[in-house]
Amino acid sequence: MTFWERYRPEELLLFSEQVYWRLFDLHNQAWWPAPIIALLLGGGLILATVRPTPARLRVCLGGLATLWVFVGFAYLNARYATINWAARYAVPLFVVEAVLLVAAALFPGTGRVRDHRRAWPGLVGPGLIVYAVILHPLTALSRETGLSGAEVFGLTPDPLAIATLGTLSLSGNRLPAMALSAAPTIWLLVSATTLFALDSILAWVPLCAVVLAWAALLNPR
Amino acid sequence: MTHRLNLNRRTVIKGMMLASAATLVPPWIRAETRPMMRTIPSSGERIPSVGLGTWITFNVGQDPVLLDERAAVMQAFFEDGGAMIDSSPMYGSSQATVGYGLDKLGYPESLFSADKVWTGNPNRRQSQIAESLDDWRQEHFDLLQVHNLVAWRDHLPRLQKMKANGEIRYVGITTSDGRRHDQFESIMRSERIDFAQLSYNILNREAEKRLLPLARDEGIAVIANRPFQQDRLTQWLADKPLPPWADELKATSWAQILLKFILGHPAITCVIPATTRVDHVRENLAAAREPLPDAAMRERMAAFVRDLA
Repeated sequence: MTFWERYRPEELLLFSEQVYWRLFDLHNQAWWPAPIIALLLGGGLILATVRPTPARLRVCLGGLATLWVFVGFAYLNARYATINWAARYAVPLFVVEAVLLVAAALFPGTGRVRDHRRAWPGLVGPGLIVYAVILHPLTALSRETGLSGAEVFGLTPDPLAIATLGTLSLSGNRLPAMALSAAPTIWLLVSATTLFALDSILAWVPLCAVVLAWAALLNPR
Repeated sequence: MTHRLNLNRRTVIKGMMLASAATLVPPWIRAETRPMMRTIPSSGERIPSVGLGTWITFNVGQDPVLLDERAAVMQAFFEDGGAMIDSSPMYGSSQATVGYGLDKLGYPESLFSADKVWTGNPNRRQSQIAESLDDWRQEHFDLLQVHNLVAWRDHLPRLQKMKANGEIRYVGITTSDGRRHDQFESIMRSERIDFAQLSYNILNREAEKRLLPLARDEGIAVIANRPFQQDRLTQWLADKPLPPWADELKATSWAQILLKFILGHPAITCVIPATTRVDHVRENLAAAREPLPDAAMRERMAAFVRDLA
């Protein structure tokens, strides 16, 4: 029996829901006023992707790359790892995604924007980005921390991963977009598993985001 | 018990004042408010029969509010006569939270520190133990256990050597679910261990078949973890009225009934419920008082809870 075969998934959940949600509160306090700046950046992402052009899309990918590095180190490594030692193992995933996003931003072909943006697959991207930037932080209102414990786009992994999937689903270059979607997808599935283990109804959010994004990515229209 | 010496004038004066105050309290009152003691067979040392687990509950990271809340739980635990705190490198920041609390409370002398080795790499063992001691802010552990039997063939001989050298006082093994009992039993038979830690509660009585009788035969102290199946048992029972026989046991809550059931088994040395609440830690320690259920009463208790399910 190997080391990890000794454990059931629920035995590897080491923290309570209260501690998990309070981390975002501590993170926002520690980085204040970064949440405001991140929201402004998120606003910029929304504006850039409502009417995407190849240049705008590439700028967005470059900006997202910076945020993947920041969230990997500032949140996963410095914050989340204090209650979940496994979080450190996810940091390389965030760095790799950042490198791939930079490469995509520098490669002119990646900026090609999806045709038929008014068809439903074209609407998924902006929808996911608006959700990640504006609506996702509001889920904190249902918790004891209130908005001070909001999961802010650009500072925390779930909204960043959702917004990244949204941006990538706007790309007309489907294969590279799918490759770049692997890391956000993996992260969101890990996040959904964690939230399901915590019995949080919010577990459905990352799961639905993944399903919607991949439905759009796989649809050629 | 071996702990970091942290003597300064304030500590000494505080200790003298507490000792003086304690002598003013009539002994029958002190005895009434202390948890019952159980004997560690390998040494004859007696320890309080209710300890404090830290899995999930003490993993609070660097949250200052929650760190202080857990320190308050530890304060109540020591005030009401608790001693054994059990943790593991596996439990996130739990060890550091215990260390924070111990530092805040001035390193209570009654502490019985129980920790674990949890690595599949034998070369990592010593550095892990050093890190654990650092987190606990201790110089020695009273008890070191091989967590979930991970790499036990490598770790146990080394822990026994540490015991022989006086670096730790007791050696143990743990399992935290109903699996691996065959291997657990085999180690209990073949190795020199002082403690066996296993899961045991009113709905999970697997250990009664072989492990608990074996522990008595071999003179091994038993620590019972997951007495409430995390908190699933207490949550499930929360809205159910206490049974009529709760009065006979002087139990005022379901948690006390569940703990008294465990302590009613003669092989159990210490049960380690985890909690985040001061009132609950006091309630848990208060369960370790007479009367405890005899074998017939324990069957009645188990049947009652089974029927509720």
